[in-house]
Amino acid sequence: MTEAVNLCVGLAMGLNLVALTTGRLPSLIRIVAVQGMLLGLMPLLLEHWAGPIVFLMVLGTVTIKGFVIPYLLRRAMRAAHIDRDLEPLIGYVPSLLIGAAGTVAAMAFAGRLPLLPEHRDTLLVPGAMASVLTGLLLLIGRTKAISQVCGYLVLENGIYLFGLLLVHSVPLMVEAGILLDLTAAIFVIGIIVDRIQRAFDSLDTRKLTTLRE
Amino acid sequence: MSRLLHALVSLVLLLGLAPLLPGIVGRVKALVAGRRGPPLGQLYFDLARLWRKDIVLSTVVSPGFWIGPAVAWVAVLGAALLVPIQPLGAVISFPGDMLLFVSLLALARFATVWAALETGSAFEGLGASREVSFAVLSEAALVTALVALCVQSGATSLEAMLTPTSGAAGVLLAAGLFLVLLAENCRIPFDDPATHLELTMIHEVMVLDHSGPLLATILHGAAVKLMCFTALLVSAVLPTQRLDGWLAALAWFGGVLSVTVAIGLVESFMARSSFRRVPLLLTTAFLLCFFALLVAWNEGGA
Amino acid sequence: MTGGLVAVWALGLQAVAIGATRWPRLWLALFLSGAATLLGAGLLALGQGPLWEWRSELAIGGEPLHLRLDALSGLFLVLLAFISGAGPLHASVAWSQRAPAATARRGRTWWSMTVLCTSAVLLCSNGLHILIAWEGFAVSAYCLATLERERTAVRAAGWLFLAASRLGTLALIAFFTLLAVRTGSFDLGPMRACPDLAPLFWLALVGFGLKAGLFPLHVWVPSTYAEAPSHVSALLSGVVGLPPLNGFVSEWLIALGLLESAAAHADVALITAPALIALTVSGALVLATFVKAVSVTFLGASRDARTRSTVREGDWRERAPMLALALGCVLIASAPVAAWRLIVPALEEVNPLWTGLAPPAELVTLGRVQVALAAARVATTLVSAACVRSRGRRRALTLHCGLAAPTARMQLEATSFGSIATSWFNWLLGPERRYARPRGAFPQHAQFAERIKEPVLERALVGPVALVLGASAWARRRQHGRPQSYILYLVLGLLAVSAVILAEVAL
Repeated sequence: MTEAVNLCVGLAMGLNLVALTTGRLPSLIRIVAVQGMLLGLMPLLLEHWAGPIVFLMVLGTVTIKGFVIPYLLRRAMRAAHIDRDLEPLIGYVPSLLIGAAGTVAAMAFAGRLPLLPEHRDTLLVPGAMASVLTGLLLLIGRTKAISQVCGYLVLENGIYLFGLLLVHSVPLMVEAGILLDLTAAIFVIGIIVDRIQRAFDSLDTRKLTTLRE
Repeated sequence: MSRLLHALVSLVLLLGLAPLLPGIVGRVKALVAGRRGPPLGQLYFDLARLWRKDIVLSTVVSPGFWIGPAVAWVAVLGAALLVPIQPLGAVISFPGDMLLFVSLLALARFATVWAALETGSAFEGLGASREVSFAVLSEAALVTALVALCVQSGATSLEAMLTPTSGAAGVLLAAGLFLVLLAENCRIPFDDPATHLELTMIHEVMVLDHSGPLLATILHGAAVKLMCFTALLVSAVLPTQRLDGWLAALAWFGGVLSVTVAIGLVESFMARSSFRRVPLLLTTAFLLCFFALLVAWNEGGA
Repeated sequence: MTGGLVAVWALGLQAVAIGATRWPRLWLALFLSGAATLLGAGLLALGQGPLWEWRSELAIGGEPLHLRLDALSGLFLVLLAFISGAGPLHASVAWSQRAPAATARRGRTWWSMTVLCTSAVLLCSNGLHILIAWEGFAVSAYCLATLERERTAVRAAGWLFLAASRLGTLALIAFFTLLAVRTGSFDLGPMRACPDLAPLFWLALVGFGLKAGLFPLHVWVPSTYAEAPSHVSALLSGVVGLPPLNGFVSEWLIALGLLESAAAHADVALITAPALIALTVSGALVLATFVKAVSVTFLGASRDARTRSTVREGDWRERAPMLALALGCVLIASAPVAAWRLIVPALEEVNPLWTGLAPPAELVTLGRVQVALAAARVATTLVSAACVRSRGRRRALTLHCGLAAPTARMQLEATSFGSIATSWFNWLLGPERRYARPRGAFPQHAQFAERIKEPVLERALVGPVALVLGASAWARRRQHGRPQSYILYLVLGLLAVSAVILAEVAL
């Protein structure tokens, strides 16, 4: 089971780095959706408990992260008529190198933390830290609002991975909480994106600086 | 098998089999596009035809123009003699020969670029500039992959190093070495071997002015270089050492065939990426090899 | 005749040569025989020669003379003899035809002085005498580098060179005096036995590093090597080599060491593996730079009419020394084992543990492989030449793919050639760009110039230097010759002193 967990988290970490290199919004949304679905399957692999509620949870996560949220984002993108190209503040190669360095640092750092024995040789902790770092990098380094939403989604994936560590003590609360948090945030962001689009006729978040008095 | 016989057989295999690989790639591309395509031995016919033709030299070139292809061909041949052909092994093998391998490829590149710049054409200069700049990144990726193999096997000679890697390190190394193969042999997505628009070429534009036997030497050298990298990839990934005799040879040929078909498929389904994205792709290749190195280091230390 | 006596004889010949600078051929003969004798002395020392030491009661600067010729000095004497011997032959063309007679005579004098001082540095074993010889070397090197004093650029480069060498000498004076204070004498012998003198190493590094051009002490190197005559640059840098040949062998040895530490899973591999990758990347960048420099200078057609008419191939006297040095590179690359055996006695001097090191087996194989490949290259080149000769070559214009009237100016410039690789380092180098874009449907004029500021000289040092200059300008303004102000300064000084005394009395 550790092998399957490591494979999933490893693929998710690879998707992090791919997300840092894409130059187009549709592919970024797709990558984040795939990462969400992959990590949504995780509870099935952690053989702590199995049951109909877990299965339902997994189904809900995969549907929301893999289909509902990307659909909302794509709708916002189409309605805003924006240029599909991302204009990064941090260039693609530097963000890729920083992301890779962060992943390596996360793996080295995780080796020194006092983890439970069952978590020590899995990639859960390094994957979580790397996803958080990638999410922050996307939030800081990209200018379009929707790409920042994608960064936020990657960040949430990282926090979700951290939450899986607590799965013994707080089994389903964590997941349900995160899902609720995510859905509410996406709704709010959808409204904000619509407002930004109406005010500036573009989704470039740098234009928000004109709001200051 | 005596050393001389071994050397002769390996030379014949390398030099004779190499022109078949571009033919296989072309045939795969044609089949995917729904055509019949050129015969598999098309490059052999091309080489024979070019060898019979005259040479046209530009008015501004010096002897470096026709020395360059000769030196490049010998360098690529030397590099090919260092790569093992299963089950015979490598013709030349000694500790530290992987560094000689990298430097011989660099020498071949240097000679080709010199011959290209002799002509004083701005197009060839552009191609030369791209070639030497992207080589910085692809050499970094290649050396990282070789160091990963060295760490994992504990040996410093190419023949002993190429024990197959398994697990995550193997997958990462295979992906990284495949990207390096595509980059060094000027395949899609780094360069399109079929186009002849100067602004988009790297390797093709450097050989624009060559003709006759010189062009034949360059084409054959490019095929041998493709053979080198394919053999390197196959030996690094497939466990051909565990088999013996004819089974190993069959496995090795099968590996070479599948890599060539994979190149053909990549060329059919992907387009050449813009020049601004090529450093990003090469950095990705470097990072794949680097992560393979880290995984190999961890597994070795643990 | 032991190596030491031969060396002294060589020095004598050099000194006599200084007196003979009025007669070019006599000087050349004396100098070359001095260089040959120096070569012999170095080879004798590297061979089986025993260590030669000579002490004398003759005191220079209060210290008795102490000369010593060991294998390490011998190695560098060999190198010095080669380079200094090749230089005058190359320069004899320039010094006899193109330059006025006075410059030529100055060139010969300072060349002899430089070689004499460098040999003295290599032979002396007393710290004070090494300092004196080093100072002589620095001054003669300055005079050599600024031979063509009429040009402003040469004078500017000369000032920078002088400033750097002053700083280096200062560091070395500090090093040798501290050494003498700690060990009790100026002699260099006891230094090896005292490991607690290690912090002094940094002073020596700064002092010698300034001369060797180590980063970040290299600020004088680009301008001086560009402005000095080529044989002078060769002597000062002492670097001879074509990257593909003997440079490869030395790089191979270094890289092999790094690789073996990685293969053995040593802890140091955390540094050596990235170092190996960085070495390869820098090698690829060197290749790109070399190609750029060679192609723009030598290949294609000349880009403007002036060079086409004035530039012509050098005389045999200019080409022969360069070919000889290149041949040396080829020999080292083809027979690395012989070069190894030559150098090992010098290594034994540095660390007694390395006595009798045998060349590793892989070096032998590498040598054989290099020879075989070189033979194959020669063979294929001959075949290629035969093809070219027999296939009825027709000369035509370079294929420019549709360009109706190509001109030489349309060739690729060096800046464009390097633009891809340098653009990756723009965040570090911060180049200045001046350009005028082409405008309109049929643009008449367009221009692009890019310049990268030297990071240490023009960025890091500019601030402190401006500060120092500002402070010294302020101080100079205070000294304008008006007696009233000087009296004011005296009064202020007296008041300050009395304030100090009063404060001390009060406490």
